[in-house]
Amino acid sequence: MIDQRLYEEFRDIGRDIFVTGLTSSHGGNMSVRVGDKIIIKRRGAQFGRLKRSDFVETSFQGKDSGIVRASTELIVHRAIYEKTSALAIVHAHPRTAITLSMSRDEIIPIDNEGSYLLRKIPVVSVELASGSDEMAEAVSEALRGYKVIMQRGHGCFSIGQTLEEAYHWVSALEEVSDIILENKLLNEGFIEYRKHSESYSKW
Amino acid sequence: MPTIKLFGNLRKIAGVKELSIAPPSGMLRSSSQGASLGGVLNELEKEVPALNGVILEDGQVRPHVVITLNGHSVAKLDVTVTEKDFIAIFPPIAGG
Amino acid sequence: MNGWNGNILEIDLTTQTHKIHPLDMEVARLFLGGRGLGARLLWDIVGPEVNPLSPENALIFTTGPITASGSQTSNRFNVSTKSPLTDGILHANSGGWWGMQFKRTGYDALIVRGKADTPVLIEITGEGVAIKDASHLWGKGVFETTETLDQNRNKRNVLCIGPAGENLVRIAAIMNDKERALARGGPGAVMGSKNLKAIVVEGKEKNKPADPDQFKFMLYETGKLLKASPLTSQALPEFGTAVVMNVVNEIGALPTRNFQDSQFEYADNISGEEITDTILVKNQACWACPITCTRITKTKSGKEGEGPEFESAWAFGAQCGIHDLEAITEANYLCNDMGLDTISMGNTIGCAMELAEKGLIKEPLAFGQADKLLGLIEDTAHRRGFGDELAEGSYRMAAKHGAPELSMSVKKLEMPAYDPRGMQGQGLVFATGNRGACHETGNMLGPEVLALPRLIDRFATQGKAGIVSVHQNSAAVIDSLLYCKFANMAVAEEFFARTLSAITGVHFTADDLMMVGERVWNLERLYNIREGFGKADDTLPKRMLDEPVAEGPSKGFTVKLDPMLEEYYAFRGWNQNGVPKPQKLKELSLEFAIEVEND
Repeated sequence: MIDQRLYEEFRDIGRDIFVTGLTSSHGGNMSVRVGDKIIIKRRGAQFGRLKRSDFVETSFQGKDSGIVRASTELIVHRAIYEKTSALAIVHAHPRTAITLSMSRDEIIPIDNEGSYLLRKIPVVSVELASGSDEMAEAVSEALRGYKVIMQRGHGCFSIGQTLEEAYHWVSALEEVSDIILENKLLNEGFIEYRKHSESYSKW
Repeated sequence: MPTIKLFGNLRKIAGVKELSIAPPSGMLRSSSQGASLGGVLNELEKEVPALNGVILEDGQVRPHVVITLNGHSVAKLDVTVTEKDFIAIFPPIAGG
Repeated sequence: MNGWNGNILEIDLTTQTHKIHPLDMEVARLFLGGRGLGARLLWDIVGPEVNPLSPENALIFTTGPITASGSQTSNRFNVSTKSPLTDGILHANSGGWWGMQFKRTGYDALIVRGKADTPVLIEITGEGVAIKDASHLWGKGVFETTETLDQNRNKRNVLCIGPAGENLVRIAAIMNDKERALARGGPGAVMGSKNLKAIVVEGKEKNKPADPDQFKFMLYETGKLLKASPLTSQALPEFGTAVVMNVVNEIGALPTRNFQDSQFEYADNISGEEITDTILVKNQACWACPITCTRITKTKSGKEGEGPEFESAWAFGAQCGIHDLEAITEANYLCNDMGLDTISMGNTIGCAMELAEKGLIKEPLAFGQADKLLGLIEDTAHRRGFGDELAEGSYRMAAKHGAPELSMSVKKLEMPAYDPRGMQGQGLVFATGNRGACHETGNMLGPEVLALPRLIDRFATQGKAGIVSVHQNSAAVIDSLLYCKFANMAVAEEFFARTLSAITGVHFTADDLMMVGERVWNLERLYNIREGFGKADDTLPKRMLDEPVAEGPSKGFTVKLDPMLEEYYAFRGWNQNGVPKPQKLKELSLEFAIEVEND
């Protein structure tokens, strides 16, 4: 079901995500799409210490035994795979990004790297913020136009062709967010050095 | 000493297409034990200063630089390299 | 209207009349332009009863909404038709200037039907559409024809065939702007079968964006990324496409001597580095392109021209066991002048060399005979002597001598410069390609070799189907939008979507584009199914499946196609025979094509 190579990828990236503080011990989830199946972290598994038995294989649509143990947000992952070309999804809880999402509808990088990679991260707002149809719809729809998005107060969803790519966007997002926050804490203003940056919000 | 083959603009930068690098002094040189790839690349940068910062950056392989060991791409620098091995280094390239 | 002109020009060469009809905007949104629009029009116009070299076949030239807008690489155009080589769907695209100029004449597409009694050319200018006598040009090479018709870079552009197309050579190309090519699958022969020698265009319409500010922003951001990426700002301009010769060889995936080996001992002699060091005069760009990857070269004997590109250098190089770069380059120039697909030509010659060495044909041919190239190419273009057999392509030639398995082709389209035994994903790409063994429709060179965007294990098979499918879809939409794939190396679909939105005023997301790609891929698949193709055609030559690589880093490998194919059909929402399920077609707004699978 899950071959050694894929397991090692999950395990290594899960560890990096936890160790760099992008999620708490058991929060967040990751999945990949293989053929017409999804392989997803099971409910309640520790991100930083994933074992082979922590993965569940389930089908694209419909109910099978896999959904019992799969992450609570399986419905969101399925919607994303259905609506986008994602082959891998990472969902994490980056603290600074979440903090910023509480007070704005989009996160616009002020740093160079973030500007290059992301330009803008939209924030979607959902009332039932965990594993609901509403959430699945809002998140999957937003990911049709962006590689990584924020869900207000909850966390980020990112997509890619590989887990590594999806992880990259999460890591970049938190770096972007930390820099925005620290700039605000420093309270010394912000000297614009980029051309056309006023257009980023239209990205 | 492992053979290092250079491609693309690395040839112009280094002035050569191919060279052999002695493993760092202090390391055993018998064929049964080798140096690490990272060690060999560090030596390469010392021997050819023009390549400084071109292949490695902060101890990591720079983005899109492709390094193969006997024809297999390597991502980890702690891989062991012996004197019979061929290392090929490609700068960022694309084509079709 | 922004982006699209809203008009399709249709010319009937039999009656020598033309008419203009509107472009259906619903079709435009679903298929965008280029390859997608070409496939959609071809679906309606050319059915399974049509012989590709008969007047009932159509040549459909298409541009897209970004063409001639000035956004980077917005110069390309596409031709769609039924292939005289594969008998399946043919799409090919080319750069240069012709596409931009044709868009400026005020049309989105040109459909050429029927057959003229005597050689003609079409001229589309401010004065209108004219069909003129071209008997004085028939028999002439592409270079002379282009010059005689007053090719003038930004103002007046010539598209034509050479003797190969005129002689219905199945691997003939259509050339534009002298040395750019619409090559794979033999579109030149279709044009020749219509007695159509050339199409000349002069236009003045401008493609103005609906949102000029957003368009300017996208131009800036795209330019920034193209400049920041060493691939598009250093590697390609400095060394051209052949810069990948050495890396593909190093890992053991460079097909040598008709795919008998996967490494060529002289790869460096035919590489991009060698071209730059020895025969390069300067580089050149197509219209509105900052990448500048074209090679302008000159050989010692004083001949000058464009190229060779990677594939061409391989086809006359490693594939034929030849390492004389001058001979390879002149073979390339000659193919351009005769109007021939260099990949199919070189691959077919390599096949002939193996047939000769095995005693299956009596031609005095062997691998490494660089001095034979020019003669063989001339003979092919004129169907003279043995050239008449080469003109049929490697499959028909090898089959005639009882050894079809020695043709390195899929669906009769010759395989390009990658040995799939060294790149499993590429094997799946070749086996499932809608136009045959093709690297431009989902090239796995990036992920499997160049770590672009990330390196994946080239020998792994599980999970490949998803990445291959995504790459195929991506290539399909890029071909429909008519961006250059080299721009895609630095700039992702999310940029293309936003630029498209700024030009057309219609909102597109990155995944709307990926869906267009998936739609186009499925329609092409259905077209081929309607033509009689099936699961049995999703395969590779026996050598790839059964003969392990003998030496080098890929030693011991064959292509494990079956498990990848199973995963691939499942991933794509097709049944076990590779037929798209109705559910998938409805999702993609392809209901009109559903009746195909009830047969």
